[in-house]
Amino acid sequence: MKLPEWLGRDKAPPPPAKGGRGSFVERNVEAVSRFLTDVIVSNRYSGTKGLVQGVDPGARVFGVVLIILGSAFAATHWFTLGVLVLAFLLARLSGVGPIVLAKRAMPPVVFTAAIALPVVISPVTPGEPLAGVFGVWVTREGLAVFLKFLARVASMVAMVSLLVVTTRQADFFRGLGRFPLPGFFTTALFVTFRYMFLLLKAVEDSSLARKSRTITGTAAGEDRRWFASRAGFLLKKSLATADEVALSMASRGFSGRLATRPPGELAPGDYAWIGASAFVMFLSFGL
Amino acid sequence: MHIPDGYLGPKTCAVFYAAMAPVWYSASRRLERSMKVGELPLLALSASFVFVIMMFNIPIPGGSTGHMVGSSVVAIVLGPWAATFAVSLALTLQAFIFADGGVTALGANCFNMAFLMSFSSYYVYRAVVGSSPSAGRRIAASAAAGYVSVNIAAFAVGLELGVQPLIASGPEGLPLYSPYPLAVALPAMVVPHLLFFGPIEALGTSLIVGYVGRTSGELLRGAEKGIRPLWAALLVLLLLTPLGLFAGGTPWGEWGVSELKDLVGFVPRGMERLNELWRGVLPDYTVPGAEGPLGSTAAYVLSAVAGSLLTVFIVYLWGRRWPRG
Repeated sequence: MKLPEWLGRDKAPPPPAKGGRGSFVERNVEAVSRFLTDVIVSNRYSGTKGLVQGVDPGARVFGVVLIILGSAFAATHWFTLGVLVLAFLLARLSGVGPIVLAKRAMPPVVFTAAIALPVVISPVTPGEPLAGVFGVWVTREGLAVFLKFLARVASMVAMVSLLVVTTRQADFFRGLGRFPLPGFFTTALFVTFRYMFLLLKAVEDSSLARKSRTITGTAAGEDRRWFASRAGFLLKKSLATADEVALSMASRGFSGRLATRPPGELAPGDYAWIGASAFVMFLSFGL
Repeated sequence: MHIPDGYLGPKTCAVFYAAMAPVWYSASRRLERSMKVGELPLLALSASFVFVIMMFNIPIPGGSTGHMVGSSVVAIVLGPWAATFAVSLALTLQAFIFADGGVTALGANCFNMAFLMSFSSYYVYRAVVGSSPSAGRRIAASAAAGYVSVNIAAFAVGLELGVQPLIASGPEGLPLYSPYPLAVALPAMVVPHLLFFGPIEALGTSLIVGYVGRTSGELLRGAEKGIRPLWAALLVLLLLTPLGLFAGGTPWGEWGVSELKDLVGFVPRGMERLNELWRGVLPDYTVPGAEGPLGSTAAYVLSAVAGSLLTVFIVYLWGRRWPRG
């Protein structure tokens, strides 16, 4: 058997570069596994007993939307900071640790902080100077705009993250049944969620297979051809799976609307949750 | 491209939910009519494809990676209405189940990535590919569709973020939501998309459509009908609208009263009286607060879009009153 040429060399070939072009397959694997981890973490907390988990899913979604609307309407950062504290308090009462919630809410908040930071300096927001160098000042007005914006984004993202962490995905779709949404939309949304995992698995499998066959870095052109074939394959797999799913749904008597258990009566606790959320929203109008 | 919660004020969010409501309604009615019930999974799987393709990294020249939105691919394969619906599904799941993209900004995100991208990419693809496509033409058309559509969406995002300081400020006049004005928000969105994300979308779309064209060309038949010359001409005219920005001075005969006074030394009394009668909705193609070269450019394009839509609406009403015999 003829050995490959590189095996005879004195020096081993370099490993795929971290962060370089050779690592794009790893990034795909990482993205998929991060996503699946998020789903697993959500399922872990949504299955436990807690304050928010005890609320009917439909009422839960409605309440969270009311609170984030309150955060959107508020003109002062005291209110939005209050909503942020409320999110962490509710998380605590629902058995969700502050680190879990913070980790979930962190990426958009960090992104916002990074892009909004220049707003504190005098060329962007002129005003009363607080400190500075070379004629560029941090202004009181700029700092106020930055903190208000960051507090608003953080509070809204934390509330949505709380909803995500405390709601099992199946419960979310059951909760949608309480809203006057077209059946076509909710059914398609549910099927999308179910089959997303199938496609994600296909991406993970093909990325892992590629990684396991790759010893050294590959040329960028080859990587792009591989991406094209995998993404094209994914599209064709989606369309082929759609045919199979349609046939299997038709064979089970699917008539166009997903048969779900009708939502029951709301409990007094659900009304209390909606009332408290509405109170928070109305409070924002005056602040 | 996903606008998170807190970047857009409630008024803007409400406008985009209101704008998308008839689009979603119309899309679902069209799809319910044109698709059999059993074809609903096709939409859902296309939405899943969009969701997954947004996580799929593409290696790009220079050693970096990026990801695409994917609306163009679905629009070329399934048509613009189905793509609008499918991408909206993916964005809804991302917002509510995975906290990616704002819940309050969902209407705006769907308008940018589902509606604008799907329709623009579909018609750009049809205009470029023609009715007898070759492999090279397919690649060129899909690259153009991806590039143009993602840049249109980026322009829209820049506009939406940039108008926030103008329409939503606190009692002390400081912005309450996205803090940067049009002069900053527009280039911050448009320049990276023209130079970096646009080429990624073009590359990704052309690679996928090229592969699908080679292996299952029948999937692209729907979008390969060419485009009627009238529509192509209108599309070109629409894209050429910004040329007016390069024209200097005032066109002959369109002088304002002050210019007329400078030219002939006086202003006729009747003209002076009528001049004060009505200033117009967007006087001199400007929007209050849109200052600087970028602000005035955005206001000019916005005026062109508003004028075109108003014209189409009036002609539509006219057509309804006197239908074709």
